[in-house]
Amino acid sequence: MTATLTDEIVGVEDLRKFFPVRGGVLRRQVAAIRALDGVSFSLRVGETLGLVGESGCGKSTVGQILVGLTTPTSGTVRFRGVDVETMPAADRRELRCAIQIVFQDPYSSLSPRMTARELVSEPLRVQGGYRSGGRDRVVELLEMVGLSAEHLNRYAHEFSGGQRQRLGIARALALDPSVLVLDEPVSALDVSIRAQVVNQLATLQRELGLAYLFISHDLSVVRHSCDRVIVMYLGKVVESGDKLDIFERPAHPYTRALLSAIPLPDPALRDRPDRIVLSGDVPSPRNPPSGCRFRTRCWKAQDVCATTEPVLTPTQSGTQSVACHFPEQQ
Amino acid sequence: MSALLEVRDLVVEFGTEAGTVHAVNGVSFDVEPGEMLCVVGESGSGKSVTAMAVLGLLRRPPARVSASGIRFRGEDLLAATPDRLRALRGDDISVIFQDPMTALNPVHRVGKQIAEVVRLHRPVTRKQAWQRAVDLLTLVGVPDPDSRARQYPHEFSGGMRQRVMIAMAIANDPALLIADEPTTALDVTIQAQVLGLLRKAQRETGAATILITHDLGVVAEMADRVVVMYGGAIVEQGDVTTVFAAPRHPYTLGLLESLPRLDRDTEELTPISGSPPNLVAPPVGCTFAARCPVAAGRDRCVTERPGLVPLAPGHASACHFHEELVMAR
Repeated sequence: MTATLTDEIVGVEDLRKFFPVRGGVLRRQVAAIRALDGVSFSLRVGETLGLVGESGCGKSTVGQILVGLTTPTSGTVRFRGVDVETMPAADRRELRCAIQIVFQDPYSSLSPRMTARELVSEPLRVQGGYRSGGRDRVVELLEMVGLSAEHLNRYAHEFSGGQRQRLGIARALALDPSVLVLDEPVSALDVSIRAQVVNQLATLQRELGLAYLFISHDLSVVRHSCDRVIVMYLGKVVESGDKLDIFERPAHPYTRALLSAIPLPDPALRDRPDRIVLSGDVPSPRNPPSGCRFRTRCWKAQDVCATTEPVLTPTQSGTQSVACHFPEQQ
Repeated sequence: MSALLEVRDLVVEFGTEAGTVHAVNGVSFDVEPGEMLCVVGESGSGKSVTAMAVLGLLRRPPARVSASGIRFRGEDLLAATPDRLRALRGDDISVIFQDPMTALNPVHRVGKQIAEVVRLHRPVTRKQAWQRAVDLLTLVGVPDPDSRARQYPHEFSGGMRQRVMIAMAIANDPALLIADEPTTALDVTIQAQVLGLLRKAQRETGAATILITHDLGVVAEMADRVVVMYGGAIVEQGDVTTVFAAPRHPYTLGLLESLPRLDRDTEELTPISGSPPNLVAPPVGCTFAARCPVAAGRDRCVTERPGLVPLAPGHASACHFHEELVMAR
């Protein structure tokens, strides 16, 4: 990826996160779950970067590291070009406001004991910004996400799933962030509600100039919403590129398989001839395969795939990178 | 024409503290032998409750189930005794649930659980039943079935557990297989495997399958016929090609238009406004009227509940103004 420091807002470099597995009488660490194993990317000002992959690929861990919910085992996170680790405390406070997160499940991520007003004003109170004009700000936030002042005194259970997710978004917007981590923001919503929230997110991005890290396993929504896409498999980036690179010219076998596994809502396209059905399961991140992590399910795997780990290398197009010894020819 | 399963005017209500929930309001449909029928709808549309009512698996109370008929091969299931239903379930009618972890018993070996289904319905020895379990695991593509049969559910991945569920469901060559969101908890590459396996299971057993899902992609991929449910009623049904190419209910049309597409770029999504009806106090008229662009400003939609009207052989829509949708797509 060729982001310069001027258009990068958040960058991560060689990010690793190992969760210890403890065992034995002394609860010593006996192994590690390698949730993230050397991930680097840049998120640019105002763009939507999709982070896709199946469960356990580490995509949510990336989001949690960005908002400070967990700390990386190694690697660096940059915010506006500055290493977060060495940042002065005052700047770090600002950083925590600037990057906010919207969670997947709007049912468990909102306190049932708080009204909409309390939920949305909580970030303002925590950061000491509620004193003057707090109520007006809350109403403004509710209106930004398509709710209104009449909803102020309702509790979470009085809202529908889509409305709850709007509340979650209003909370995330309260501190004027420049980056939103959207962790499966529409996956828990019904089909007829999803499009409402997807459109709302697009409108907010246009109006507020937000950058989105869009974490999702739903590739149709990613194609619609994202400018660039990163595909992860077992804690590694296997491919990244502009939206059209990934969806029209996928170079990594895993990306191809992932795309072809998705059932299209059109009976005429049933039994596509290029359909790839992968065999087997995703291996355990506790003991990932040697060399290329996808090789155990890959139909192109050769001896070299077991011995040498492929590096993420730019393809000819310049916008796309792929980590495969035998990438698809363009 | 004799359908394998006939459901007529099914009504299911739940008594709750908040009032009576009208979960299913007069649902009628047929399942033909050997067909793949997809029931699609959102949460609360009544699709799962309909299936549970057919299986006699709803606890009564709080549920109240009534119908002018639920007939399986002509036998009235509503009047059947609990013993008779138990004899049918797992034998002629079987079911695959969404979450295989909660549907399997964590303290028994997987092979034993499959063998139990066989032994309950067939006069076989323990050993024969175990062998059948191993054969079934082979059939559903579980590698190394001999040793896998001796393992416990927690030693299986989500996709493998769902394979076990399918093995149990087809153990006694059912005539009707009900799969309730069988792939919703799975990753897409695993979903593709399981859907392929369901097709294979249907081919091998010749069972009619009711596949309940919220995913229109799965419907397009799998269905012969599709039933679209909304607010506890069927709003449209027909063969899958017709319903997707020329939907005649505004809800079906709205759903299809609101989907982002994987195979092409879409500028802006066209959402369905509003949210699903509250089934404690369902609207008098059409349940979709409040969200419907066709109903806007029309009294008839608010005052009169539309019934399912046949449009062509096998295609029906419950909309007063279905003819306005002919050219819509």
